[in-house]
Amino acid sequence: MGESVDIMRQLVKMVARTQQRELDCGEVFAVLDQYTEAIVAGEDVSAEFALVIQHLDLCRDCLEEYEALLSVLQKIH
Amino acid sequence: MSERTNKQWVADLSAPGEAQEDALSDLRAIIMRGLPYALSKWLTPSDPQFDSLSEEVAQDTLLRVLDSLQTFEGRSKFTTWVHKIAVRIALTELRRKRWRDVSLDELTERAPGEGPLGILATHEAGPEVVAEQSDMIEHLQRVISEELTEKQRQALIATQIHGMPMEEVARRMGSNRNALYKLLHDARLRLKSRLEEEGLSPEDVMAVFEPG
Repeated sequence: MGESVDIMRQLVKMVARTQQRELDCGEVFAVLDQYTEAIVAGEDVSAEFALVIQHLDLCRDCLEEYEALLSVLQKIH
Repeated sequence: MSERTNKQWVADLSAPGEAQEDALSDLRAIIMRGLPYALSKWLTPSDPQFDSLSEEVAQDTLLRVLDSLQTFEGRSKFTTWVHKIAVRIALTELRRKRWRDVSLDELTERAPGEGPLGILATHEAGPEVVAEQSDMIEHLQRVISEELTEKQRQALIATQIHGMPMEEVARRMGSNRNALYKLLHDARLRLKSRLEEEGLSPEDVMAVFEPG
């Protein structure tokens, strides 16, 4: 599979996941502690945090920060 | 180490004095305990950078916490909020170090798919599939160049293709992460609506790129 195909495929996937209304990184950061605690507690976050989930699916920076915070909470709380 | 409620943390940290000193020292220990887990995908505690980075992050986090104490809304545990700030500071610093020598212009000189299209010729499918794929790539390239601004294209290439962190791209563009996210969101929306206008669904496009 060519590099160009992979790149285009990746772009099209992102476009497909794009929504009219999305949170920006600051809005996600504002609730990231609350969201991560809910995940650790095993709560159903799909409704309340739908926009956060959507953002994390598209933004690697925020995803990395979420994963780092998750590791901390899972290990020391 | 004393267990504090959210209210106690905020009260202790709010005014200079012995209670604040104690709270800062406890909080510092809490941050330091979290960092090996926060950084586990980036650095091991045995890495020579680890100790100095941790010290720096703990210090910066405490300052940031004191500065933004009034923005803590109590919707999580206080210490979770502090770990969140520490994570942001640590990853920002690691990204900055890791990408220090990379220039945005060099990185994005080559547009997406501008590489040798001939690479498709090595694909195992029949020649008509390869032709269909390269037609689609050319079409998408045209859509990208017609719909997106130069800045949007550059941001898209740097973040999505080269994996450059948003903050690093933003800094080089004299922007910030939120504004860059909005720029990219707008770019994705433009591409989405253009493909919709053309009656081309993402599934149609993906089907062309699926093997076999």
